[in-house]
Amino acid sequence: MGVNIDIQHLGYRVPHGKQVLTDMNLRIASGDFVAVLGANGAGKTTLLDLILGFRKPSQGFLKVENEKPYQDNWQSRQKTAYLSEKVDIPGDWSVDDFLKFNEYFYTHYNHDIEAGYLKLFRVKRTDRLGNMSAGEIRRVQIVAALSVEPNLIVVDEITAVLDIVGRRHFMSLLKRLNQETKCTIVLATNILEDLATNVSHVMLLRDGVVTTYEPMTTFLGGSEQAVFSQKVADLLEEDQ
Amino acid sequence: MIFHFVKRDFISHRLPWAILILFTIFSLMFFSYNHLIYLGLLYAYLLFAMTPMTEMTGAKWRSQHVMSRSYLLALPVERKTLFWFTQFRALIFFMPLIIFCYILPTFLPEAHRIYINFVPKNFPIGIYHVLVLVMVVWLLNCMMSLPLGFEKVWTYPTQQKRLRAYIVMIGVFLFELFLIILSCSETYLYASHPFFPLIVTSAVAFLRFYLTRRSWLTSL
Repeated sequence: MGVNIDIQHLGYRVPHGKQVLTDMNLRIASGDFVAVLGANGAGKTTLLDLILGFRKPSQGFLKVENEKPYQDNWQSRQKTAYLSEKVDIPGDWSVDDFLKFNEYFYTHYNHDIEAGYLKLFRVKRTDRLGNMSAGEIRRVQIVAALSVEPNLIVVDEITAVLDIVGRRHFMSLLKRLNQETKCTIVLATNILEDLATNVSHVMLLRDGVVTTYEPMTTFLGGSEQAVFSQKVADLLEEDQ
Repeated sequence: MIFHFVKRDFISHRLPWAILILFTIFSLMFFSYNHLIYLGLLYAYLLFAMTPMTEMTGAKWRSQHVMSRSYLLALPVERKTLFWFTQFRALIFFMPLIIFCYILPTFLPEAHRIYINFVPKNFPIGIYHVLVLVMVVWLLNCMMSLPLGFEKVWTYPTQQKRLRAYIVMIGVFLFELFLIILSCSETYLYASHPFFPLIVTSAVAFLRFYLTRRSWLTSL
């Protein structure tokens, strides 16, 4: 089962800085697969940081399963997979070092799943992270994060560095996990390829304000899935 | 769980540990007659203690091949506990320095008269040992909190605000350093009150610890 995320009048201002999110109101229901889209600086990463409790809201609240993440309900992170371009690992570690280091913290870590993902993403345990490309390191993170059988998957723009095959595998895997385990997925991305067929909801952000949040079927409004990218691009351009 | 981190730290830094041990053995075998070598060792241990700090706190921004803070904060570990772990891990890298400062007055009582004012004459050795530990806690927390503070300042929108914040941060640090040096000064204060440097340094270290803890818990 997934988790519910309730957002009421949510605002976030960077200390001594600009207002990043303003009066956001929405509910991400358990089992939703939400694509968060928007221009650079629209507030996508900040929203994900708030979901993970890395930041404290300046206004309103955000609750994950009725708990405020910034209050550090750390047990719930046992079932949270966080994939981000911000996450890096020491270069002198091998893949095996990282996987062993990571699995220690998760009581539900599944080695069979890990073995399957290692094969799917063509990751070798003996490879050294310092010799890997950014995309290969993301694959290692995917293996580590998804092997905890998560009920919440938060993905912050990692698809951009994955190659075409890797991206396709990743998106298919997310869709399969979403359908089979009913986990909630929040995916911030600028890569629209494969989104229309995989995600259940679309969220468009403009300067920290949600301009669109609706199911994919409503968003497409009967149009072909192929027009999805064009429609998103048009809406974002219109906003600007 | 703490030993899971410590074990990983040791594996990642086994080469610097080995170099430090070899350097110590080599120095003591061939240069122990020259007291300058003790000063060299002191700096070597201090430098060694400072090197892994970025890894301990984790990098805030994208920096390939460095442990990221986002990863650490996303782990299912209470963030307050993680802060204590970080303190303990950092303290381990200070152990050569602490041990060195502890044993030097015993094995080289004349050191204070020559180059290094380790233990002033007639200073109670028990207080000295506690004082060394408290100073390490202060230094360790300075090394954690100053980079965390700089990270925050970089996000300030105007140069004027950034400049003011830099001046305040560095000013506070220098003031703390001044207080510690003054309180330990043989000429001025401690002579008739050997507890005085301990009280001042403990107060400064506690304040710095509090600031570091607060910065750490709101570090992204």
